[in-house]
Amino acid sequence: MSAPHDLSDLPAWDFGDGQAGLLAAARLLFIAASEAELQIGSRPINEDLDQRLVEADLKVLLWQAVALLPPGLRLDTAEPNWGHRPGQHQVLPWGDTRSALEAAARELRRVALRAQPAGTPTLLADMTALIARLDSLTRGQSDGRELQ
Amino acid sequence: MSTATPLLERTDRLARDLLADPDPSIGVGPYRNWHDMIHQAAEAWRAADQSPRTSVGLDPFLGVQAIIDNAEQPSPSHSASTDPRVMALTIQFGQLTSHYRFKPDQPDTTSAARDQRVQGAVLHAGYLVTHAAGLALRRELAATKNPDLLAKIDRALETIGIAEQILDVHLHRKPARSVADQRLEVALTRWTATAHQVISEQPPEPKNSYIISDVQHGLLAHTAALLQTAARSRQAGDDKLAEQRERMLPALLRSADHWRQVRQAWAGLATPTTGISRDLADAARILQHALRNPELDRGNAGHLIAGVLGAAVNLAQRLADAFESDQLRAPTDVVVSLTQGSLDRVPEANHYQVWMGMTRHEGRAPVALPVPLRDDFVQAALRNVEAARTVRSAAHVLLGTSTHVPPAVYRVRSPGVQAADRTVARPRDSVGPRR
Repeated sequence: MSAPHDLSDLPAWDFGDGQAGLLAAARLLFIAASEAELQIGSRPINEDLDQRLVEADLKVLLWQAVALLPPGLRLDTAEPNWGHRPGQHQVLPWGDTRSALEAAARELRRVALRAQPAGTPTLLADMTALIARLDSLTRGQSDGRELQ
Repeated sequence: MSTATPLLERTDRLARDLLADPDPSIGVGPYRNWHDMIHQAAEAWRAADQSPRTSVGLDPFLGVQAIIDNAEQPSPSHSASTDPRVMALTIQFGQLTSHYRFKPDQPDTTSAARDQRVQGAVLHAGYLVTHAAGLALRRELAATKNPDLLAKIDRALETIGIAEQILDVHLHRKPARSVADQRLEVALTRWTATAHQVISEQPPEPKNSYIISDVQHGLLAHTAALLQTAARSRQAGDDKLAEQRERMLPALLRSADHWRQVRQAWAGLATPTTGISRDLADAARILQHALRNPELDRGNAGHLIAGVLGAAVNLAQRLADAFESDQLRAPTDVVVSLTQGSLDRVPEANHYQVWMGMTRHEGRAPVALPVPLRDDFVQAALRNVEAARTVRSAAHVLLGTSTHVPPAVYRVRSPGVQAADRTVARPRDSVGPRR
């Protein structure tokens, strides 16, 4: 599997820098959202509220990014489908969700926002807000605070 | 006096008369005109709002229209009789629309309060006629022996029931106390309307269906979280709260399980590429933000979510229909893999016939789903519809009353307050009752 930021498999059509950064960010979000769904998706809905909210936030970010791109671009070169059958991904700790988000935000910041598709600044703002929420969640856990 | 007053009075009289004095001789007559009546009522409701529109506001009819636009047109009766009172009401709503569109009141008589009164009257009339149409269908259901007709009436009754629940939610909602409440109202309505619009598109796009299933699953999680938060602050002997929890939580958990299965089925068919509905992604984002808002009044949120849980039945049914669509396609390698799994579970199936029926057996080109695989998905989707019906029924406990008293589940008795419960709006992540 090529790394999410490896854009060598991009189609031949004219692809601006802004869209390239957005696609790289979408690929990172795709992996992070997949991992989050694997961890939380099959658990009862009345458990793990905080993690469930993070998973939902990640997916919303992914859909935002995907909706800003032209159709037909691959998000994941390894998976045969959008679904994630158990065992196909390695489950990553929550810290990696944050790393993925930071990397995705970096991809968006590579290019001036005015050169990116409309809606990208909102996506970046939402991404930053989720990173802050993750930090807050981590602090709460280390303080031994009850999360729910 | 506004010149619209006689129109409103006549509309109200007709709607009440229809409900109080049904005409059994015309069978499902009120239902036959119901669709047109709703569309006209929606136009009148919108026209009555004379304030300048700066953004997409709350529109209770948007969700109802999205549902009935997808529904089968009314024909669950041998007779083609209609109820003249519903036709008259439809005309009244049309006149009301013309009155406000082309003869707006003078500025000195225009006010937000007047707009709300007119819109409330229209909403109320729409609700009464919807209820009357439902009663007419129930009478027909009890009278008919034709099994084909029974299924059609059942489906029509479900559509009417969902519409009634949505209108009920808006008719009896508390006035939004904060911007957060208003945003949630708009976000829920927008989500319902957009999801119905997207699900009706052909061919079905599995990625969009996945998103719809996932957001619906998330709404159940939010509802469960609201109940759980209330439970922590539960006082001994609060029987009403106990009843609400007992009814809602098992239904929510079971339904979530089925939404998850449907979500995974759509995920299995979706290619990992870009290409989703922008409107759907926007609606999901706005809803997620609205639900997360710490300023939200949880009592109001529960009341509003009850309407969406009602509409979920229709969405679940539309997703089952989408699995049956002749135009549904998925990558060949995925279809082959999933079909193999289906055949493994049914050893008696004619494997040769299934494989020969496929136009190709390798590669990523899109192909139609073989019957065993399609049947598996449809059965899972229909189980989801049943579970969603249970939630819809249980969700009535979340509805407030016409006196706007919030359900007990969202009221917390503070240690210092003896006389009555008080509604608590507090940040999502706060723990226990506010002191």
